[in-house]
Amino acid sequence: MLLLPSLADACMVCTGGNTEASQWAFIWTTAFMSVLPPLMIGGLVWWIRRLARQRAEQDARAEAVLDPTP
Amino acid sequence: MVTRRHAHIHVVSESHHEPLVPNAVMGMLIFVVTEAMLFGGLISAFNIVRAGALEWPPPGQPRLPFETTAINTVALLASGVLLYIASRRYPKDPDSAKLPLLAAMLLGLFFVAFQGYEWATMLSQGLTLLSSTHGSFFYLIVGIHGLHALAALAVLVSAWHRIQRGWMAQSRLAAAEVFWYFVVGVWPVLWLVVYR
Repeated sequence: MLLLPSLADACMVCTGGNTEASQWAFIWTTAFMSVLPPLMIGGLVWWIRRLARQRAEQDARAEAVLDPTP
Repeated sequence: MVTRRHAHIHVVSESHHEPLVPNAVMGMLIFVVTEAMLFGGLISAFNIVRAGALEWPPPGQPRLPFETTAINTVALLASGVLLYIASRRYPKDPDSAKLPLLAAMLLGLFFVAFQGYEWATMLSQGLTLLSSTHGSFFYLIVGIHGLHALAALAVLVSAWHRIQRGWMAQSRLAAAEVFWYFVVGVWPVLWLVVYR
Protein backbone atom coordinates (compact mmCIF):
# COMPACT_ATOMS: atom_id res chain seq x y z
CA MET A 1 0.00 0.00 0.00
CA LEU A 2 2.87 2.39 0.72
CA LEU A 3 4.47 1.55 -2.62
CA LEU A 4 1.24 1.41 -4.67
CA PRO A 5 -1.44 3.47 -2.88
CA SER A 6 -3.69 3.51 -5.96
CA LEU A 7 -4.45 -0.17 -5.27
CA ALA A 8 -6.68 1.07 -2.44
CA ASP A 9 -9.14 2.16 -5.15
CA ALA A 10 -9.98 -1.55 -5.55
CA CYS A 11 -11.30 -1.70 -1.97
CA MET A 12 -15.03 -2.35 -2.15
CA VAL A 13 -15.51 -1.19 1.44
CA CYS A 14 -14.05 2.23 0.64
CA THR A 15 -15.33 2.77 -2.90
CA GLY A 16 -18.37 0.51 -3.17
CA GLY A 17 -21.16 -0.75 -0.96
CA ASN A 18 -23.42 2.22 -1.57
CA THR A 19 -26.20 0.24 -3.19
CA GLU A 20 -28.62 -2.05 -1.44
CA ALA A 21 -27.32 -5.02 -3.49
CA SER A 22 -23.75 -4.32 -2.35
CA GLN A 23 -24.79 -4.01 1.27
CA TRP A 24 -26.66 -7.31 1.17
CA ALA A 25 -23.67 -8.92 -0.56
CA PHE A 26 -21.43 -7.79 2.29
CA ILE A 27 -23.89 -9.11 4.89
CA TRP A 28 -24.37 -12.51 3.24
CA THR A 29 -20.70 -13.09 2.50
CA THR A 30 -19.71 -12.07 6.04
CA ALA A 31 -22.26 -14.52 7.42
CA PHE A 32 -20.99 -17.22 5.02
CA MET A 33 -17.35 -16.75 5.97
CA SER A 34 -18.22 -16.65 9.68
CA VAL A 35 -20.23 -19.85 9.58
CA LEU A 36 -17.88 -21.85 7.36
CA PRO A 37 -15.01 -22.54 9.86
CA PRO A 38 -17.16 -23.71 12.80
CA LEU A 39 -19.23 -25.77 10.39
CA MET A 40 -16.20 -27.57 8.98
CA ILE A 41 -14.31 -27.97 12.24
CA GLY A 42 -17.47 -28.88 14.11
CA GLY A 43 -18.25 -31.48 11.46
CA LEU A 44 -14.76 -32.91 11.77
CA VAL A 45 -15.04 -33.12 15.58
CA TRP A 46 -18.48 -34.73 15.33
CA TRP A 47 -17.14 -37.34 12.90
CA ILE A 48 -14.12 -38.17 15.09
CA ARG A 49 -16.32 -38.52 18.15
CA ARG A 50 -18.62 -40.84 16.20
CA LEU A 51 -15.63 -43.01 15.19
CA ALA A 52 -14.48 -43.08 18.82
CA ARG A 53 -17.92 -44.22 19.96
CA GLN A 54 -18.05 -46.93 17.28
CA ARG A 55 -14.63 -48.19 18.27
CA ALA A 56 -15.58 -48.19 21.95
CA GLU A 57 -18.65 -50.27 21.09
CA GLN A 58 -16.53 -52.67 19.04
CA ASP A 59 -14.08 -53.04 21.91
CA ALA A 60 -16.90 -53.68 24.36
CA ARG A 61 -18.33 -56.38 22.05
CA ALA A 62 -14.89 -57.96 21.63
CA GLU A 63 -14.36 -58.01 25.38
CA ALA A 64 -17.77 -59.60 25.90
CA VAL A 65 -16.86 -62.38 23.42
CA LEU A 66 -13.52 -63.02 25.13
CA ASP A 67 -14.93 -62.91 28.64
CA PRO A 68 -18.61 -63.86 28.53
CA THR A 69 -18.92 -64.24 32.31
CA PRO A 70 -21.16 -61.48 33.74
CA MET B 1 -11.48 -47.39 26.84
CA VAL B 2 -10.62 -44.16 25.09
CA THR B 3 -7.87 -41.88 26.41
CA ARG B 4 -6.65 -38.43 25.45
CA ARG B 5 -2.99 -37.64 25.63
CA HIS B 6 -1.71 -34.14 26.51
CA ALA B 7 -2.97 -31.41 24.22
CA HIS B 8 -3.21 -33.60 21.14
CA ILE B 9 -6.52 -34.86 20.01
CA HIS B 10 -5.09 -38.33 19.68
CA VAL B 11 -7.79 -40.72 20.64
CA VAL B 12 -6.44 -44.21 20.97
CA SER B 13 -8.25 -47.28 22.14
CA GLU B 14 -6.55 -49.63 24.57
CA SER B 15 -7.03 -52.53 22.20
CA HIS B 16 -6.02 -50.59 19.05
CA HIS B 17 -2.79 -48.69 18.64
CA GLU B 18 -3.58 -47.06 15.34
CA PRO B 19 -5.30 -43.65 15.42
CA LEU B 20 -9.02 -43.42 14.74
CA VAL B 21 -8.33 -41.30 11.69
CA PRO B 22 -5.17 -42.23 9.75
CA ASN B 23 -2.55 -39.49 9.78
CA ALA B 24 -2.64 -39.15 5.99
CA VAL B 25 -6.40 -38.61 6.03
CA MET B 26 -6.27 -36.15 8.94
CA GLY B 27 -3.54 -34.15 7.24
CA MET B 28 -5.51 -34.04 4.02
CA LEU B 29 -8.68 -33.00 5.86
CA ILE B 30 -6.86 -30.11 7.54
CA PHE B 31 -5.49 -29.05 4.16
CA VAL B 32 -8.97 -29.25 2.62
CA VAL B 33 -10.44 -27.09 5.41
CA THR B 34 -7.86 -24.35 4.72
CA GLU B 35 -8.44 -24.54 0.97
CA ALA B 36 -12.19 -24.34 1.53
CA MET B 37 -11.60 -21.03 3.30
CA LEU B 38 -9.53 -19.86 0.34
CA PHE B 39 -12.35 -20.61 -2.08
CA GLY B 40 -14.88 -19.14 0.33
CA GLY B 41 -12.93 -15.89 0.39
CA LEU B 42 -12.62 -15.77 -3.39
CA ILE B 43 -16.32 -16.46 -3.94
CA SER B 44 -17.22 -13.82 -1.34
CA ALA B 45 -15.02 -11.21 -2.99
CA PHE B 46 -16.48 -12.08 -6.40
CA ASN B 47 -20.04 -11.75 -5.13
CA ILE B 48 -19.34 -8.38 -3.54
CA VAL B 49 -17.75 -6.99 -6.70
CA ARG B 50 -20.55 -8.35 -8.87
CA ALA B 51 -23.23 -6.92 -6.57
CA GLY B 52 -21.62 -3.49 -6.80
CA ALA B 53 -21.40 -3.51 -10.60
CA LEU B 54 -23.98 -1.63 -12.65
CA GLU B 55 -23.86 -4.28 -15.36
CA TRP B 56 -22.57 -7.87 -15.27
CA PRO B 57 -20.73 -9.07 -17.27
CA PRO B 58 -19.16 -5.64 -17.76
CA PRO B 59 -19.78 -3.99 -21.16
CA GLY B 60 -17.76 -5.51 -23.97
CA GLN B 61 -17.02 -8.70 -22.08
CA PRO B 62 -18.32 -12.09 -23.24
CA ARG B 63 -20.78 -14.12 -21.25
CA LEU B 64 -19.29 -17.27 -19.73
CA PRO B 65 -20.28 -20.63 -21.31
CA PHE B 66 -22.58 -21.80 -18.52
CA GLU B 67 -24.34 -24.45 -20.63
CA THR B 68 -21.29 -26.08 -22.23
CA THR B 69 -19.49 -26.12 -18.89
CA ALA B 70 -22.32 -28.34 -17.67
CA ILE B 71 -20.64 -31.14 -19.69
CA ASN B 72 -17.45 -30.57 -17.76
CA THR B 73 -19.34 -30.50 -14.49
CA VAL B 74 -21.02 -33.83 -15.23
CA ALA B 75 -17.65 -35.35 -16.17
CA LEU B 76 -16.09 -34.23 -12.90
CA LEU B 77 -19.03 -35.48 -10.83
CA ALA B 78 -18.85 -38.82 -12.64
CA SER B 79 -15.16 -39.06 -11.79
CA GLY B 80 -16.06 -38.60 -8.12
CA VAL B 81 -18.58 -41.43 -8.32
CA LEU B 82 -16.05 -43.71 -10.05
CA LEU B 83 -13.44 -42.97 -7.41
CA TYR B 84 -15.98 -43.88 -4.72
CA ILE B 85 -16.65 -47.19 -6.51
CA ALA B 86 -12.90 -47.85 -6.70
CA SER B 87 -12.47 -47.14 -2.99
CA ARG B 88 -15.32 -49.52 -2.08
CA ARG B 89 -13.82 -52.29 -4.22
CA TYR B 90 -10.22 -51.86 -3.15
CA PRO B 91 -10.31 -53.51 0.32
CA LYS B 92 -12.05 -56.64 -1.03
CA ASP B 93 -10.29 -56.98 -4.38
CA PRO B 94 -7.59 -54.42 -5.27
CA ASP B 95 -7.50 -55.47 -8.92
CA SER B 96 -11.18 -54.66 -9.39
CA ALA B 97 -10.50 -51.07 -8.25
CA LYS B 98 -8.06 -50.34 -11.07
CA LEU B 99 -10.58 -49.78 -13.85
CA PRO B 100 -12.86 -47.30 -12.02
CA LEU B 101 -9.80 -45.48 -10.70
CA LEU B 102 -8.38 -45.21 -14.20
CA ALA B 103 -11.73 -43.98 -15.52
CA ALA B 104 -11.89 -41.38 -12.72
CA MET B 105 -8.41 -40.15 -13.63
CA LEU B 106 -9.27 -39.93 -17.33
CA LEU B 107 -12.43 -37.96 -16.62
CA GLY B 108 -10.40 -35.65 -14.39
CA LEU B 109 -7.94 -35.15 -17.22
CA PHE B 110 -10.81 -34.44 -19.61
CA PHE B 111 -12.10 -31.83 -17.17
CA VAL B 112 -8.75 -30.01 -17.02
CA ALA B 113 -8.28 -30.21 -20.79
CA PHE B 114 -11.79 -28.92 -21.48
CA GLN B 115 -11.18 -26.04 -19.08
CA GLY B 116 -8.06 -25.20 -21.05
CA TYR B 117 -10.07 -25.21 -24.28
CA GLU B 118 -12.67 -22.91 -22.69
CA TRP B 119 -9.95 -20.55 -21.55
CA ALA B 120 -8.56 -20.37 -25.07
CA THR B 121 -12.06 -19.57 -26.36
CA MET B 122 -12.58 -16.87 -23.73
CA LEU B 123 -9.19 -15.31 -24.47
CA SER B 124 -10.02 -15.15 -28.17
CA GLN B 125 -13.29 -13.39 -27.30
CA GLY B 126 -11.47 -10.68 -25.34
CA LEU B 127 -11.84 -11.92 -21.77
CA THR B 128 -8.38 -11.67 -20.25
CA LEU B 129 -6.93 -11.38 -16.75
CA LEU B 130 -6.63 -7.61 -17.18
CA SER B 131 -9.65 -6.86 -19.37
CA SER B 132 -12.06 -6.41 -16.43
CA THR B 133 -12.79 -7.55 -12.88
CA HIS B 134 -14.98 -10.21 -14.53
CA GLY B 135 -11.93 -11.61 -16.34
CA SER B 136 -9.69 -11.26 -13.30
CA PHE B 137 -12.04 -13.19 -11.06
CA PHE B 138 -12.83 -15.82 -13.68
CA TYR B 139 -9.20 -16.72 -14.36
CA LEU B 140 -8.21 -16.42 -10.69
CA ILE B 141 -10.99 -18.59 -9.27
CA VAL B 142 -11.17 -21.15 -12.06
CA GLY B 143 -7.38 -21.15 -12.34
CA ILE B 144 -6.88 -21.90 -8.67
CA HIS B 145 -9.43 -24.68 -8.92
CA GLY B 146 -7.60 -26.01 -11.97
CA LEU B 147 -4.33 -26.06 -10.05
CA HIS B 148 -6.01 -28.02 -7.28
CA ALA B 149 -7.45 -30.40 -9.86
CA LEU B 150 -4.01 -30.98 -11.35
CA ALA B 151 -2.47 -31.60 -7.93
CA ALA B 152 -5.29 -34.00 -7.00
CA LEU B 153 -4.84 -35.76 -10.35
CA ALA B 154 -1.15 -36.19 -9.56
CA VAL B 155 -2.12 -37.76 -6.22
CA LEU B 156 -4.52 -40.13 -8.04
CA VAL B 157 -1.83 -41.06 -10.54
CA SER B 158 0.49 -41.85 -7.63
CA ALA B 159 -2.27 -43.98 -6.09
CA TRP B 160 -2.78 -45.78 -9.41
CA HIS B 161 0.95 -46.45 -9.64
CA ARG B 162 1.01 -47.85 -6.12
CA ILE B 163 -1.97 -50.10 -6.75
CA GLN B 164 -0.26 -51.43 -9.86
CA ARG B 165 2.79 -52.31 -7.76
CA GLY B 166 0.71 -53.69 -4.89
CA TRP B 167 2.05 -51.07 -2.43
CA MET B 168 -1.13 -49.13 -1.78
CA ALA B 169 -2.12 -48.58 1.86
CA GLN B 170 -5.84 -48.04 2.44
CA SER B 171 -5.13 -44.81 4.33
CA ARG B 172 -3.23 -43.31 1.40
CA LEU B 173 -6.08 -44.12 -0.96
CA ALA B 174 -8.47 -42.52 1.52
CA ALA B 175 -6.32 -39.36 1.63
CA ALA B 176 -6.29 -39.21 -2.18
CA GLU B 177 -10.07 -39.60 -2.13
CA VAL B 178 -10.50 -36.71 0.30
CA PHE B 179 -8.54 -34.40 -1.99
CA TRP B 180 -10.42 -35.48 -5.13
CA TYR B 181 -13.84 -35.25 -3.46
CA PHE B 182 -12.94 -31.70 -2.42
CA VAL B 183 -12.01 -30.76 -5.99
CA VAL B 184 -15.22 -32.38 -7.27
CA GLY B 185 -17.40 -30.86 -4.54
CA VAL B 186 -16.13 -27.29 -4.92
CA TRP B 187 -16.56 -27.18 -8.70
CA PRO B 188 -20.41 -27.14 -8.92
CA VAL B 189 -20.41 -24.23 -6.45
CA LEU B 190 -17.92 -22.31 -8.59
CA TRP B 191 -19.83 -23.17 -11.76
CA LEU B 192 -23.14 -21.96 -10.35
CA VAL B 193 -21.69 -18.80 -8.77
CA VAL B 194 -19.09 -17.65 -11.30
CA TYR B 195 -20.51 -18.86 -14.64
CA ARG B 196 -24.13 -17.86 -14.04
